[in-house]
Amino acid sequence: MILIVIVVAALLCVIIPTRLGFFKFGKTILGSTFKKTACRMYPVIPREYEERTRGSVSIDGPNCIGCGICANACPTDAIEVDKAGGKWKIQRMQCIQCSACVDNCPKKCLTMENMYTLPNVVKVVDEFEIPVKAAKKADGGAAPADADGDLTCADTCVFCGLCAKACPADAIAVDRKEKSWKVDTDACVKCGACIDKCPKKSLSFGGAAPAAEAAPAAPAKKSVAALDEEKCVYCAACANECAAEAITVDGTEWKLDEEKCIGCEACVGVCPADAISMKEA
Amino acid sequence: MGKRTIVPFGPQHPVLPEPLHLDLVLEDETVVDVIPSIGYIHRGLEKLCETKDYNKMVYVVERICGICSFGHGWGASAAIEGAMGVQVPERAEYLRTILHELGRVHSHLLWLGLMADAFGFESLFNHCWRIRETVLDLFEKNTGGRVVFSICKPGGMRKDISNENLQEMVTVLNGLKAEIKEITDVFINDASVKNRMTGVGVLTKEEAMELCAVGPTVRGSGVAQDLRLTGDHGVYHELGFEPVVEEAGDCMARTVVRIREVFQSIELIEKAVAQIPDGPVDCKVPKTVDGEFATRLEQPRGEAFYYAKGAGSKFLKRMRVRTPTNINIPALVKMLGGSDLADVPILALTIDRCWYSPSTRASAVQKGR
Repeated sequence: MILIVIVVAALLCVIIPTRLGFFKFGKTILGSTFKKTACRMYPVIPREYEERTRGSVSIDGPNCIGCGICANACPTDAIEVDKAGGKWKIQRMQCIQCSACVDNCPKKCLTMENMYTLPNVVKVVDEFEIPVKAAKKADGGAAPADADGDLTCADTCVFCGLCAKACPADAIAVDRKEKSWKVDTDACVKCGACIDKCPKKSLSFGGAAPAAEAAPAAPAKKSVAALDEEKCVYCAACANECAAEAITVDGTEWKLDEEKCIGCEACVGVCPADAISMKEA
Repeated sequence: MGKRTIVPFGPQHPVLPEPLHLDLVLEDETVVDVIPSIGYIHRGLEKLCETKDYNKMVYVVERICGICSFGHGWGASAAIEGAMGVQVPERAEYLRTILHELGRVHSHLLWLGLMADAFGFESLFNHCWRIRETVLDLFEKNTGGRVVFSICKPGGMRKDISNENLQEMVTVLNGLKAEIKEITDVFINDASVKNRMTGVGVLTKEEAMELCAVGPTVRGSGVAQDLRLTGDHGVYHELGFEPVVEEAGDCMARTVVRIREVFQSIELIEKAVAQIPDGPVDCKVPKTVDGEFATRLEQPRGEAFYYAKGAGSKFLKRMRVRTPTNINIPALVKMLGGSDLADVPILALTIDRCWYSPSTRASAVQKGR
C-alpha cells in the first residue's frame, strides 16, 4: 500500500511539473532508474575489442630481418632496431598506436594487438630478440644460392620497375630504355618486398646469373594485356599499377596503348575482378 | 561608477577542460571588460611538423585536438595533397565525409554534455555522454581508434570501410535519433535550462560578421556561413543540404544550432552511405612534396585553416594550422561584456569548449617567430 502511494506520488511529482514546463527530464530519469546501468562492470566484465582496435604493437621476433623500416616509419621514434645486437626495442610510453610500423613492415612480422599495454609506474622499454645476421661475406667465398645471398634478377626481367617502386630502402634502380637493372647491395635490407611484387617472378636471393648486362633476347611474340569487358568494374587499379602507364581508365572506358605495354602482367595480378588476361599482340 | 574588481578566471577552472585565462574586470557582479590570454600549453607543433616526414606529420596534426581529430587529419592530408596536385579517389572522399560527420555528432554530443555540466545539470550531462559512447564505439569498429583515428593519409585512406559496416553505422545512428531527441528536447523546452541560456551573451548578426566569428557561433547569430557548402572538401555538394541557422544570437541559439546539426549530420551520413561508389580508397602520391597549398575545412567548431609548403623533399618547409576557436576569441570577449559573473562559465563554453588546445598549440608558434 505504502509502495503504491509512493509510486503514485512520484508520478504526480513528475507529470505535473513536466506539464508546466519544469522537470522535462523526469521521464528519462524515472525510466533509467529501472534500466540496467549503461556502464560495464569493468574490470569484472572485461571489454570486448573490435577487430581493428589499436592497442599495442607486438613482434614475431624470429621472422624479423632487422631492416629498420618500422623505426624509420615511426612518427615518435619509439622503435629502435639493433640489427647487430639482435634486439628490437619499443618504448611503450612513446608509442602512439598509429600502426604505421605495422603497415610498413615488409615481412609482416609486426601486429597491432587489441589490448593496450598495462599501466606502469616507470617508462618501460620492451626488448625482443631478433635473429642476428652474420656479417656479409665474412668468409670471402661466393654466397650460396639461398636466402642469405644478394638479390639477383633472372633474364626473364621485362624492366617494368615495379620492384624499384616496392623497395622500401630505395636500393633498386631500373632503367627501361637502357634495359638495366641494378641493386645497391649495401642499401638492400633483404626484405623480399620486390620478390613478392615482381610480376615475372624474376627476382631471388642468391639466384643464378644476374641479368643486368646483356639484354634478354626479345620474346618471339610480344604479349599484351586484354580486357574482359563483362567482368571489368572500371576501378582503375590496373591503371594505377601499370609501370609503363599503358592503361587508361576513364569512366567506363578501358584503353590500352599496345605500343607502351611491356607485357609484365602486373595488371593481371592486381585486377580484383579477374578481368584481365594476356593475349598475343 | 562602482568599485572595480579583477577576478582571474582559469587557467584551472572546473568548467574548462583545457587552460584559458581570462581577467574579468567586474563592477559589482557585472563583467565590464575582459582580457584573455592564451599559450598555456604551447608545444611548438608547427615547428615539429617541419622536422618530420610528411607521412608521419598527419599523426602529429591529428593530435592537435582529441575531439575534432578526424578533421585535423583530413585538413593536413588535404593541404599536402593540394601541394602535390593529387586528386584522391571518390570513395576516399565519401569515407572522409562520413567520418567527419560522425565526428561532428560525437563532438556536438560531447559539447552538449559539457554545457549541461556547466549549468549544473549533471544527469543531463551523463545522458549526453552515454549516447556519445555509442558513436565512439562506431569509430572504434571502423577506424580502430575511439578518439584519435589515424585513418587519413595523404593520398586517401589507410583502410577501407566495408559497405556492410557503413550500413550498420547508419542503422545504429538512426536508432540513436529517438534517444538524442529525448535528451535534446530538455535543452530546448526545460524552463530551468531556458532561464540559464535564453537572452544570455547575445551576439548580433552585425557583430558576428564584424568579429569574423565562425562555425555554430556565427550560425547562431543568423549568418548562413558553412564551409561544407562553399569549401572544396568532401562530397557535400553532392549530398545537398542547407546550413543550420538560428537568428537569436544568444546561448540558446548556439545550442539549438548544434542540436540541429547532430540530426543533420546523421542525415548526411545516411545520404552519403546510400551514394558511396565502389573503388580504391587511396592513390599513389609522389615521394616528395613540392609547391604550396592552403585549404579550409568546416570543423565541428567552425572554420579551420591548413597550409602546407613543400621543400622538394620528404619534409615540409612550413605547416600552418589555424583552428576555429582561435578566431572566435574576439566574439567571446564581445559576448562577455555586460554579462553576469555567474554566466561566464557558460559563455566560455558556448563558443566551444575545446578552443584552447588547438588555438594555443598552433598559434603560439606563430607568435614566437
